[in-house]
Amino acid sequence: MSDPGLSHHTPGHHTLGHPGLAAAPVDVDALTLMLGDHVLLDRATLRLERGEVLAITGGAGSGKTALLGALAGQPVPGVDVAGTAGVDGRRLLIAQGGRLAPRRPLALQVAEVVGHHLGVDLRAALRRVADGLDRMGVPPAARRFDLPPEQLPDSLRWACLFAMAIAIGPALLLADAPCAGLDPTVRLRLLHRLADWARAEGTALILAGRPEDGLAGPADRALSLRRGRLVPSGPDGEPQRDAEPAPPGHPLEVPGTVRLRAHGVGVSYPLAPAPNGERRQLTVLHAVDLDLRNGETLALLGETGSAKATLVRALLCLPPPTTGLVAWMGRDLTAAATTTSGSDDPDPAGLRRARRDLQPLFPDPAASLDPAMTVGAQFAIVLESLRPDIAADRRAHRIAEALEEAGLRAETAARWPTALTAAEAAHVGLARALLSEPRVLIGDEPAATLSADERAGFLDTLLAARDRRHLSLILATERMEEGLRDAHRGLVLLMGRVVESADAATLRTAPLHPYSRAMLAAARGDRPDLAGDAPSALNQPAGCPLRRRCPKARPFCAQAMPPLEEVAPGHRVACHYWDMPDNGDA
Amino acid sequence: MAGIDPQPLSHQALPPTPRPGFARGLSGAAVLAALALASAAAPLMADGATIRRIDADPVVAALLDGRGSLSFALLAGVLGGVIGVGWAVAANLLAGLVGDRVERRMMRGATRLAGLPLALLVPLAGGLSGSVGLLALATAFAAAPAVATLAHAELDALMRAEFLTAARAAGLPEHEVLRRHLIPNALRPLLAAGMLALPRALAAESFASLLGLGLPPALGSWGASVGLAARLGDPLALAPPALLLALALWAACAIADAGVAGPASRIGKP
Amino acid sequence: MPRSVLRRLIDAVPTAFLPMAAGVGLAAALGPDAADAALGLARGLVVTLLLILPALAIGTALGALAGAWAALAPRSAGGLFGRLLAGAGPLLPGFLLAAVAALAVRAGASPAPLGWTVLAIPAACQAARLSRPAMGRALGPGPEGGAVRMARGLGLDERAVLRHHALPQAVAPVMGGLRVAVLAAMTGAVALESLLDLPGAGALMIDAARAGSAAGAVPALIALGGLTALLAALGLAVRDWIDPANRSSTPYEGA
Repeated sequence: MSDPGLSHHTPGHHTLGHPGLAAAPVDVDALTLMLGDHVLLDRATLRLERGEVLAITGGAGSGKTALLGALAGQPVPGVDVAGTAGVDGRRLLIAQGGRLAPRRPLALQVAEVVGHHLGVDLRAALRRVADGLDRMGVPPAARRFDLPPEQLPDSLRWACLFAMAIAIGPALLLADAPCAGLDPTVRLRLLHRLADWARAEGTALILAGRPEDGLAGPADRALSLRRGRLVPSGPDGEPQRDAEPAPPGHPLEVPGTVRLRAHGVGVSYPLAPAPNGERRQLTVLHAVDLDLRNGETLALLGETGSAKATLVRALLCLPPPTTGLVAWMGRDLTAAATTTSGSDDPDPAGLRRARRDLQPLFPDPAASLDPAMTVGAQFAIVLESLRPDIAADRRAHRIAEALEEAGLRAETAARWPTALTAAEAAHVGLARALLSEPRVLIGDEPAATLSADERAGFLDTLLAARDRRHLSLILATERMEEGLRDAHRGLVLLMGRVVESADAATLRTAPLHPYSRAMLAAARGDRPDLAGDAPSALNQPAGCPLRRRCPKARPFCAQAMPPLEEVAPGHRVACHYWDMPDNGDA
Repeated sequence: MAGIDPQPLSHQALPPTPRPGFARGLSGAAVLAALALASAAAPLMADGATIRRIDADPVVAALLDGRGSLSFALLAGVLGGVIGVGWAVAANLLAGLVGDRVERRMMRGATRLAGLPLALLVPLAGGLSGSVGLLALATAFAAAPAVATLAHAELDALMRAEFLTAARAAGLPEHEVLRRHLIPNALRPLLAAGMLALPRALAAESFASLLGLGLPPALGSWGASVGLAARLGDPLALAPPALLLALALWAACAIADAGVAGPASRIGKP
Repeated sequence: MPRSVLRRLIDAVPTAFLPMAAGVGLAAALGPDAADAALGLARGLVVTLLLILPALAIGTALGALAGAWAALAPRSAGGLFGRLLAGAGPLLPGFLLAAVAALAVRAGASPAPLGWTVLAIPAACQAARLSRPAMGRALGPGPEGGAVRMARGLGLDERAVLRHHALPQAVAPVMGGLRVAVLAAMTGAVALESLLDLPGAGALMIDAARAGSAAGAVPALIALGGLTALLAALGLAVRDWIDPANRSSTPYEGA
């Protein structure tokens, strides 16, 4: 392997000032990384002790991957390295994406890597990895070593990667964007366990990722990589905030009367019939009730499989829910939407009127734009359909207004959707939603494709539009803190059921359901108190869907799904034992 | 959901050309057009009155043959493309009217057929009937299943596109969604799928003619000339039609590949 | 290997062996001399199989390796060969090569090795065309290169990385494209048999078609369809063997 001359460890040289200390596993001095004439990292100095956990955060393209590559002795092609990056002992790099050879059985790959480093055979390697999986908290029943990694769930793949690293026991472990794409509660649980192991075994651990990934939580120290400098960052991973955001709740005015009401909304899909010919269906949303008042902002909180996206679609009647009803200003939309699925609308005005008032924000704004039309052309179609009262020659003016309200220039109307960046597409999506001057915006993670800065900008524009127009807003998100920051109320969804509903301040400070608490802990970078992964929608446990992960689970949880009960005015929880302490053995 | 960081270094490392297939498709189209023009102009090169292929210079004779091969390939290719695309569209329409089951069955049939050596039907049709119309039908049928499977996959992806949901959210009734969003977006992928039939038709016809069971000798065909030269053991007569046929096949494949290469072609639209 | 091959062959009974048996039976029923016709077709099928199978196997293997090599070291001799194969792809259909081979045989070359070469070249071109970009992606900076980056990060040596992490990703699309290669080899084999006067099923079919005898041509066509299905099933079996993503019962005890 090529050695660019930076991985030589020079014992004693940098430790002259600390004669009593053993050599630190990582000792970086004046490390400079250049990509062409662009400086990724400028003369950085970094020292990491044994058992120290460091988080390095930075936006996309800030040079995290190049830095980890230099520390691992595998410089990224095209990046020039100067300075010294001394590492004492064995080092492992878990590369971005966490991919293994997709088609080889995991056991072979594990044995290959562990055997390469430790010189043991397949059996011994697997035993060591099994010990590592114990440390990562993976139950023995979930271990499928004979499968190729692409047939394993992502969380198990990451756990296996960490277990492989644990089995080898390097002096320095580098993880690039670890557990990206996993649910926050699962991600933080794995990262905390990895950090615990590193501290206990004296391995130096560096976690690199984006600021919003919550890597600072498990770490002892967090650095932020910005404009070529490594600077200490605040507890949330952001580089020292200049100003606290305005305390939430106060600028929000008191909501008015109920406008949008959903009663018993459920969605199920037909499955292939069972072998005995019995019809089967998969219910993903179980009879959810929801009220939205005039001017109110409601956060739908939940992770993968919580059916928050399904609920959003059902509220918009795209398609209408299979059971229950959605009423807008007292008019039943579900009935209107089901009868108008044919081409001749019996009640075009009623449903169209509601569509004008209820506008969606899509999770992938770029895909929600027709690639064969300019932005302006498709906006004109929307106006023609929803605002027949605006004359054809006034449409261009209204489109320009909406684009400017969404923080774009009016010329954006002439552009093609494929030429827009992700952030521009998100703002165009907002402009389209505002086009018909709606009263309610219903968004399903509308900023999910954006980076942290773009995300903040988008949410600011959205909230400004909300305040200006006194809009009601429903926002689905898996980020608990962010979702509740500007909301009046929050609904926590788990496997298609509401498990807790309360006002935002209560949910931010004292949530009662174990799932809400875990989500809040994950959002803050703390250790979520849930074991294992979410069960598959096709294989849900009887009773409470959380019981196999829950710290409060007792035998009775398997027998009945807890009902949503009011525990305080305006605060409802669906848990049998919300007021009981955790189990001792959990 | 938090995605994986976009590769920060990939932007600089990758060349800015988004689609390498596109340039190849363009050159393929140019080559095919040049071949067609040269074949059309070949009678002018042959000396005067009637065209007697045996006496002519081998290159001119090969160009003369090109008229038969290319026009038949165009006819059968268009026919095959239309049958294949029609198959896929019909399957999708029936799915809306009757149910998904019919659609699945129709497309499974197309996949099965695409795995059979249908090209062998062409010499069979040529030998047993000898009529050009039947030969064209057989060629088109040999090319259609592959077209149908691709066209169906493209349509399937399009029907799930989010912008259709967005259009419904804007209150557009179904027929308007179809007219304004679905059809404009379906045209290009369907055309690209139909393009697949062209190289297949050309290859199937040449294969049949090579064995002496293709186009009648009066029409002329590259395959027939190659087959004749091979049987006579005349390398000088074999080379020109073989090279032209190879070139035409390469060009037709390049065009088809460029069409299939992906939706990035929409970027530079006026 | 044997178990998965057996399973695939059993799966292929209705699509492969039944048409072959039906073709032979039909030939016996329709032909003027029942036993002779059936025997001739059965023998022809064996000849065709023997012509295609080795050529396809060697051509695909060589082409896949050369294509992968072309992505790894484009300037080396092997890389140039791979690029040549990948670029030549549709230029060299089997039936055209068969005509060239017929010319060579008339000039005095030996037919059998020439025939295998003629059928192997299109298969190699197709394999190289598929494996070269796949290998490029496996080694590149995109998401598909993640496995190779991870293997390097975990400290494996370059040889193991290429062999176990990059090459399988290059070979997988070749295995997926085997069906197309089988079809191309089938038309090539029919042309070859007919032009070189080999006693294969394809030559039987073409001769019967030339004589205008549907009774002779249709059974041969049905049998050739069955043979194609058999070859495709063998291709699937090889894919299962090479690609463990399609296998799931490899017991690893002790963990």
